[in-house]
Amino acid sequence: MKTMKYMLGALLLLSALTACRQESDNLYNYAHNDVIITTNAQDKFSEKFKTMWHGLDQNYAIFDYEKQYGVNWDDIYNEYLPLFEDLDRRSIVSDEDLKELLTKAVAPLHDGHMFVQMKNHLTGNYVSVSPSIIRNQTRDDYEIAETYNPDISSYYITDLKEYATASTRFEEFWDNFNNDKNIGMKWLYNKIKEIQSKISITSGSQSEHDAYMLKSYGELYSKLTVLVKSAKTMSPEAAINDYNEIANAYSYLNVPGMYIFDASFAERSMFIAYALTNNNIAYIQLSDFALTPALDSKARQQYAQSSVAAQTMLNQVARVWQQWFDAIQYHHKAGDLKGVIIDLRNNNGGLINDFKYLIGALVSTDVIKVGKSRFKRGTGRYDYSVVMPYELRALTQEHVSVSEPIVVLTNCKSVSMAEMTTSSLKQLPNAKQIGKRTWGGLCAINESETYSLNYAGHVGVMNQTPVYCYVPQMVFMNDNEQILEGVGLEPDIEVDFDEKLYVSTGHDSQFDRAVDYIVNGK
Amino acid sequence: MRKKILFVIAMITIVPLSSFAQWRAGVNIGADYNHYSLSTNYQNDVKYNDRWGVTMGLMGQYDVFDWLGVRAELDWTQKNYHRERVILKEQDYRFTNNYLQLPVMASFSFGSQQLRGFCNAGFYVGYWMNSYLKGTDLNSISLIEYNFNQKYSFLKERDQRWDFGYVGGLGVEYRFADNWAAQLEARYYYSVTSTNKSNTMADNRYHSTLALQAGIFYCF
Repeated sequence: MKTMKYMLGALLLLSALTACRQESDNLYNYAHNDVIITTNAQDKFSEKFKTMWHGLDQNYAIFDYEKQYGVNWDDIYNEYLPLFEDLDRRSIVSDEDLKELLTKAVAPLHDGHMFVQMKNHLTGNYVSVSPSIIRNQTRDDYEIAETYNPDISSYYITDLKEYATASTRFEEFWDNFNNDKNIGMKWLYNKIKEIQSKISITSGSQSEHDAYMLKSYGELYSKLTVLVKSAKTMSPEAAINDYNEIANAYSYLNVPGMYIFDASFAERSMFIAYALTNNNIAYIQLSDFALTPALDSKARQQYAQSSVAAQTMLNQVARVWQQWFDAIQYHHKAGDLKGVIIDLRNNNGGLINDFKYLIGALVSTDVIKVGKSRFKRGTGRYDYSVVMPYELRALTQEHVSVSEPIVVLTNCKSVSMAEMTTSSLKQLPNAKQIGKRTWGGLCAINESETYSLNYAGHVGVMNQTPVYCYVPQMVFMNDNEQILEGVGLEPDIEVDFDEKLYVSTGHDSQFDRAVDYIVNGK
Repeated sequence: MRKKILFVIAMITIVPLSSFAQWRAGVNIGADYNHYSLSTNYQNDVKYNDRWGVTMGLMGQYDVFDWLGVRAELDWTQKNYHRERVILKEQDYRFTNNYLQLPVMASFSFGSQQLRGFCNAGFYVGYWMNSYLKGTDLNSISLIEYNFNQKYSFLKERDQRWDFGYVGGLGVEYRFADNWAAQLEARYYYSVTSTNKSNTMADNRYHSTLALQAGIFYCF
């Protein structure tokens, strides 16, 4: 009996002690435009900060990496929440004030893609901060990269036996439209002059048709002139929209080159250049990775749909790539391919699938190692997947395996896919990176539609929720499991872009060094 | 906390007063079934399933009276679980977590000399020695599946390797020889230490482990 009493006493004591477990906090999913979750953040800066902080706490993929830079996310919460609360007590908060405080809060983070947008409810404007832009703007080579895009066209007469370019970018289209004498603005101007001259010859008398055409051409020319000025400060999407409205309204005038510009290219467009040097170095330059819409039939339907003009532009891009690809096949088989240069300077990144059209076209394996990857798994700050190999598929179309020297040119504006491509190339024994250190944005991002694959990638919806964060869903590592986010890839041979040389002679010092390495082996 | 201290003091006071005093030592082995408690919050399709594991160890007991003893053990106990996503078969992780545990319990017994029932109640301290992960995952960018079977990498910012909790058990003992006894016990470990270190947001994760074990004692 006594034993039973003691036993029951002990068991009761134990059951009382089982209340020692602590509850977890409730977490919310900030990925979508959920009005209930964001309601407090609509008109309070402190709540906007909390939303941003919690969203990143649950979604940001590299907090363990940030530790080595002394970033303590809890300290940032404790330090900046009171400062955002101070903003709530003010009746006037300018966009600059908000941007300055937001910049201080997120600038320590190293992800190369990430940006944070916050709405100033007092002004109605959105302010955005990108820690990687802030970081890279302090680099010595940033301004040069901003000023000069890669352009080896000046070598055409003396050093290149083949040269071709194509573009699906609005800026090239708009540039041609404004400057090519056979189309667009110059054609329109000449047409107006022609009619005016005709009227002048006939001593002022004009047919009804001439009067009507003169008026219509004049109206169109005026509207386009206004757009030429305003397009310089507009986003590509806005410029395309305004241009398409005008082109649609005046399509009956059949102005050469004035076709509707496919709006999908605002999101996925590129400039491509191909050259074959006199000593058979096959050169390719990409401004972005958007080859897939041009080279993959299924993707074509998604991006270009039924637009004839868009199909034409994509065909041109495909043709330039094909010239590069064919040159490599032909000269390698002939035994006189000197080398390959892949110019990824000022490359903004883009479609992962493009990988197979570039590196995948140079190697003979089915799968190419890019590096390693690790994804977010769970709401915990350090909930990660295992480290997985990051491999991409090569081109299935028959092609040679290039054993000749391969050089990839990079600078501080080589971002994202440009860096992953560089990282993969550097694993080949015959490849070298020449130029300047890359941007430091290797972690891949995803569309909001695929958020739930990893429960990571986005906080909020841009221009809709009070807070929006564009964050990586994964971390990219090189083959040694080293994370280079916010740092970038160091070149094997560092070469500055010589601005004076370029301005005076048109020669590109980094391209010249790449050619020199291929020819001389050092 | 005060109750715990009082309990321990009571145990220490009782021990020297007994003239019965008997030592015993033994080994145990068994299977355990672990449940991992945490909140997946809005990630509704993420499931944590219970898993079986192994437990074995050394036992020592000092019987103060014929109905009361103090037992301490040094056990290797696995606290395993399975993480999966209901809608994505590719994200499938089986965790095998190996702990070294030191349960210290009061052991109450009743019945005849040959066949007795007993109840253990006390606390334990444990250390998370290592873990292994086996399963599949998917690189959602390249869409290539990856099978893995590897050692878990601890992160000091995330993982709490020390474990503390309460333990209770019920069992039967059969004295099959003068100095030998066999035991069968169902024991429950209730951890009150989260395996995950919390930060500004509390994110607590606990093991609860049911062990079914058999043991043999040599009674001195």
